[in-house]
Amino acid sequence: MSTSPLSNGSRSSSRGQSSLEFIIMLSLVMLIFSAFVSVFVNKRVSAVEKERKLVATTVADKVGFELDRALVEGEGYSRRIELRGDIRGEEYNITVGNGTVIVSYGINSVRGYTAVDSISGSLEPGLNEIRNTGGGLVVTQP
Amino acid sequence: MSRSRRGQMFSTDFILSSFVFFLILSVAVLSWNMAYAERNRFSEFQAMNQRAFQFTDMMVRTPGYPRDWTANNVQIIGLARPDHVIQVEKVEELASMNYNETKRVMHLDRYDYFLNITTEDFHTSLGKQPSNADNIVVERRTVLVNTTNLFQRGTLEFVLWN
Repeated sequence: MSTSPLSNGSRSSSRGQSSLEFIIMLSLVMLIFSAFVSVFVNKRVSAVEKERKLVATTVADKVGFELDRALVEGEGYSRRIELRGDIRGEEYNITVGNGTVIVSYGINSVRGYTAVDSISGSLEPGLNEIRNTGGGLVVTQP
Repeated sequence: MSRSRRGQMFSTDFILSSFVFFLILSVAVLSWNMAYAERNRFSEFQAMNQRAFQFTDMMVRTPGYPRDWTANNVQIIGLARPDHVIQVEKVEELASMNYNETKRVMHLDRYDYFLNITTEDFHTSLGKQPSNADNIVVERRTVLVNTTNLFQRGTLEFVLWN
């Protein structure tokens, strides 16, 4: 004689069940969670972009200052300056012209100022040498 | 025997656990945002610090550009010739300029400044004193001020604020 609870003749099927109520609750929770994540990610992206802009601004200001210094000091002045390798993980380049220093990174750029109208050569991330030759400012990478 | 079976949409347990979960999530998100805001504020402060240092360096180490600049043709403001010896004529020339004009020459778009040069017998203040400022950076340098054949030791203070 079997002692199984199923052996008394009654039939009881046990099946797993995902109820409609549970799915609705889960959907609601996921919706609210998605909203939170969306806001959080947006804020983080905005904060990272703002920081990148500030860093690029310091690079532009530094370049402007060093060029102005070379201009003021006159012929024979020479100085090596080190520029950071990247703008918080993003590559950048520097353009000097018409009293403006433009630092471009990705699709963004910031502007700095200088009294120098133009330079020979270009400024690159890393080590640069600025020389006042009397005829203008020359920039090289030593 | 009949058994009524009813589905259940919201239980007290579920509501309570959801509340706790979202409370913890909100605290985490707010803390993270505050940390980023503080980091950005520090970066802004560093940028201001660099700017103030550069301006002050240019003023106390160089005669500016052109070397004999006037209020009408100045491109770079420098007050010293030689290094750290402030020429009173240049200070007077700077004082004769309109505040906004000096800001334009200095390219201070988002900032205001206050410049103070003091010796025992000489005192001049230019610009705007900080008022309701969020950020203030001060650079102080010891200088010699050349007043009519007399060199006096003094202090040049440059305040950048916003």
